[in-house]
Amino acid sequence: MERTKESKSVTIGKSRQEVSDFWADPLIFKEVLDTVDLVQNIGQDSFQISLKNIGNKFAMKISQKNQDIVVYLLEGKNLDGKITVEFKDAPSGRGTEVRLIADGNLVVFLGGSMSEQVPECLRKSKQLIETGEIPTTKGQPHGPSVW
Amino acid sequence: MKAVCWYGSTDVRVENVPEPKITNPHDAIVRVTCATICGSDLHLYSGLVPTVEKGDIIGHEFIGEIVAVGPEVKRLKSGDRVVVVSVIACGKCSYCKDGLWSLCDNSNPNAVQQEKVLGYSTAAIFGYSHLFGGYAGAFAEYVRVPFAENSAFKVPSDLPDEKLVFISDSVPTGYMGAENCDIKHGDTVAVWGSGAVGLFAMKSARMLGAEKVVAIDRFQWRLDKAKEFCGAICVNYENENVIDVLKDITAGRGPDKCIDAVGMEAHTTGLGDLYDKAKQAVRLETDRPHVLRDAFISCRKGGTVSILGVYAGLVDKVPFGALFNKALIIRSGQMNGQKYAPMLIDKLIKNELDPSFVVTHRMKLDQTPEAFKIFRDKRESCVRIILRP
Repeated sequence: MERTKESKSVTIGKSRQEVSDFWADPLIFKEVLDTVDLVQNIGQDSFQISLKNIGNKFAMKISQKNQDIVVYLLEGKNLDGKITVEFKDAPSGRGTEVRLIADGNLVVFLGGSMSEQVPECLRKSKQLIETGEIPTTKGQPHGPSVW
Repeated sequence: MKAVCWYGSTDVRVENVPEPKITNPHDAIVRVTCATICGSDLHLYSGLVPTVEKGDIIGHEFIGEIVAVGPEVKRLKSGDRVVVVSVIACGKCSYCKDGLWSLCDNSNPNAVQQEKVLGYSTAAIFGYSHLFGGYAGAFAEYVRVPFAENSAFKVPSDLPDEKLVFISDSVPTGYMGAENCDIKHGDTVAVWGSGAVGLFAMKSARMLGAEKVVAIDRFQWRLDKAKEFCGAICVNYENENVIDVLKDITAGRGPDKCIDAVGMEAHTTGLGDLYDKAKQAVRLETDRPHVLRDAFISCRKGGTVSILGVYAGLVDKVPFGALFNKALIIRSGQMNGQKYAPMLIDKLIKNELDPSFVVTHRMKLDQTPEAFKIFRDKRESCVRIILRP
């Protein structure tokens, strides 16, 4: 299995408490990733994640969570890695700097290359935390396609 | 429902498409009662804006009535008559909170695409390419309005659509262009372009205290409007040397403030016009910067050039030396309509502002393909066309 590491950051205009609480709930992955179908709590900080389409299930465990960092460990078929989310106060009251580090073989979980999906994941989390929704144009009207 | 869809350069068609639905909690659906073709729609029509796809519904300047709202929309309800600002903004990010609504961090679902071109993403705009979000536009019977509480402004029932519709885009664009000039008493403001946005920039410059306003265009009927409604001194650049005339009007000083209300499809005279058209045609540049060139050279030392005409990408041979050595101040940007709409609506209610003087044509939505031709070719003394479903 190919192991890669991707690290990206974003500033979210909310307090560190609010942002870290959001990221400490694994349901966020169902919101920000198109791949996740179901997140089930199966024990103390342990979860089972079901993926769409391929029916793959895997285990996710929170190994650390506080206002500075949340660490998720992931293990399953064709999937093995760690997602670390670090939080820092942004300067001048601009909210919270969030750094997401994906390390391992996580392509199945993220639904694409880590270099594309990590920033997209962060962007969606910012949209969700700041506005309460992820903007989309899915399902909107469109004229007939022509060749 | 009927909607105007883009199918290629100079190819727009009225098609039957499904009606929009509430998708997100902050959405509203608006029944469009009136829309207008903006000068920037011509850039789409000419095929100069990248990432427009076949079948995309275009149009961004409109007014209508709310027919449905999402569960998180509290300040609006079905039946409200609203004018909708063309820029879509979340209202929650740091840019929106600072009044820079057109720089919203969150409203553009295609932010990745835009970051590759601009470095950072900006706000989405209705019906204005996938680079600007890919949202369906307003040349339709109904339109979905994301983050509706930030974009849709209630308006009184006794004011006609033709006065209000321009609050959606053209009037705040003109106002912002003038406000960005930081106009002082006694200033001379030169405005390139006497289309609706240019005319509104002239009116705004007057409102903000300009002593002289100079209108620069090539169409006499537009210059006549600038003279009649904005008290402008008129310069037809096909007959006069703009730089010489501006110097003369200001007794050798040059205009204090210059406003580019033309943008990427500017025209000029002589070989310069052919040069840029040829480069644009073969994609060696995306925009024709004639106005920028003239403005940078004409503007007085230490003056301000305010750019409100739309530019898409790359320009060639802009006299950056003039900008630098004359210490010019450059202000620019898509308009922050949400910041200005309440004030401008108030002026309309008090009868201190009437933008309807730009309306020259009234047509049905079904006639939009013909309307685009009239507007692009400046036929029939066209300034602005009102479309009704």
